[in-house]
Amino acid sequence: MGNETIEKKLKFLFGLQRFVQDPGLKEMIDETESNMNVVRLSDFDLVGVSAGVDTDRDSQAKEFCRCPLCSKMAERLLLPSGMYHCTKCERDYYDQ
Amino acid sequence: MDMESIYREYHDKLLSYIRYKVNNEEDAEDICSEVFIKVQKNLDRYEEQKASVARWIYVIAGNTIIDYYRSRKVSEEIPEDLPSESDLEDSALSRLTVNNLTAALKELSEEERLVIVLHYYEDMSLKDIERETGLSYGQVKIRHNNALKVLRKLL
Repeated sequence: MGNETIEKKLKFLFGLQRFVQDPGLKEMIDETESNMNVVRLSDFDLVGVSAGVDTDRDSQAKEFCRCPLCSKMAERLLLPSGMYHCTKCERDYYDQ
Repeated sequence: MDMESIYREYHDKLLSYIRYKVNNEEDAEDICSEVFIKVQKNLDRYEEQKASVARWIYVIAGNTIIDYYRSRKVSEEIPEDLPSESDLEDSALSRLTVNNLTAALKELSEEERLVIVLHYYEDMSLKDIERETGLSYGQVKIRHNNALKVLRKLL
């Protein structure tokens, strides 16, 4: 089996996870990502960072949809300003 | 009828269909995701007596593909035909479960698992992962390929 088949399976299974949100896999993904020694945008309220305010990651609303700016399907974060932040192109926009 | 069953049963075939219609791998995957999001949002409004699940999903897909062409202002002919229900068969992918994936990921090292999660779940390119993690592109590629070698045997 070449890489194409296993990559197809991985895309399928992670895609499935977006919808079913299996708690065991979610916990593993969260733990894996928390091991990154890099600040990821989704960890912080962007306004909060600039104001030096700590924020609660769980209060960030996340949804997966098409970004009007880059036209790609990506997770977007709702910012306190009411704008959405696209995690793909990393730009902000108002909902249309 | 739940979202997981629908996704598992129709994803592979739907993606193939969309890929054939738009002739672009990345756009096909995006459109496929969009279709399943619409299915999920409208699942409670689905009426079995009006159409089979398959027909319903493929109508949504057809409309989404039309929207795709319109948004790109492409002058190519918008495809109107939908697959017949006999085209819809079980796929090997539908037998895979999220539990299979969780168990397989446990067999990876932490670094390999990170690359896999960032690439396939967060949809980051290997270049993006290089930038975000501070690893060299070569290191990212090696971890990615090593992870695939392990996962190939398990999935």
